[in-house]
Amino acid sequence: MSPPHEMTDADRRFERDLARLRPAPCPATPEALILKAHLAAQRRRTRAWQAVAATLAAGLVVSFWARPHAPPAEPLAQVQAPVEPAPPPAIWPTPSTASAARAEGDYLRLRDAVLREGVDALPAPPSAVSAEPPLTLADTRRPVVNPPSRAFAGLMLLLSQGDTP
Amino acid sequence: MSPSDPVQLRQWYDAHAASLTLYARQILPQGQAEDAVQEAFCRLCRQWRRPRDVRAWLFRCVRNLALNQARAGRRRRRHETLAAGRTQPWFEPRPEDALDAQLAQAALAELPPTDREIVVGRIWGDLTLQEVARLVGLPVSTVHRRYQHSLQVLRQRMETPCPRPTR
Repeated sequence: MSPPHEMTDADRRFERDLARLRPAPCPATPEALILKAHLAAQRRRTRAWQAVAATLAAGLVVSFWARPHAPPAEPLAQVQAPVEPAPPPAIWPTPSTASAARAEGDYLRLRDAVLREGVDALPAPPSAVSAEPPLTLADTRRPVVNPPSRAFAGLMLLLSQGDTP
Repeated sequence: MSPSDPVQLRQWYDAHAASLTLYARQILPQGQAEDAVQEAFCRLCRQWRRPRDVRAWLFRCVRNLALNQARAGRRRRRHETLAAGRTQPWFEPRPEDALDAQLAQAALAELPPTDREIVVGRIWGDLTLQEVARLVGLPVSTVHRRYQHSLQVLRQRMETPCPRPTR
């Protein structure tokens, strides 16, 4: 096959003149075309969603029918749960016994002893509480608020002198 | 950007609709050529992705549609449509044109159909010779040779002076 000839200047000029001719516009209005194309695109999208929905529905139906059957349920034996006695009302350990019953084992032991022998089984209150002497009548005469100290009295005296001209 | 974007579609239409219509008129009569162009833009909108080369894609789509319509039209009322199609102008005559639009249309119409496709696709479609070759399904060298030959034929026909009226 022979190679194509080079175009002459006259051919190139004629080609340029031809290219200057403007094709007649398409008689269809672009708005109508855009509307038609938009409708076509929307129809395509609707079909796509319909296809997706149909596929999902088919998959759901297939999975429902093809799912593995569950093994037969074994009969359950009903066993009575051991009834535990209600716990006794909590006996809050007094501050004196708190240190003695801090450990749980001690508390349980103390509880059993109280249940078995009564309140007498409780240990004696700590000596720190009974170390204070009992109140006497003389204690009632003592002022509740301590009198001001000597430094405070001196300060008050100075203030009172400062007020006088 | 999606091909269904109205703004983008309007730009493509303004840029390519006239040359696509001219190209479709090389295969189809007037009324059906516009239908093929419209259908090509609609198909462009239905594309999920924007084609890599929209102009080449549109020309190929118009060609396929036009050939399909031409085959179907040949079975139907062939003579009426062809007769109606030849009356419409292919070019918009302007005073600044160096060539006469009617003369160019008449000269172009006398070329073989494939040569017309090559000339229109190359000149008014602004396609490369490689793209035209892919479009019409011919080797590039053949397309080049036929393009040059068609230009020479067109120039000879359009430069031939009109015969003087005989008394």
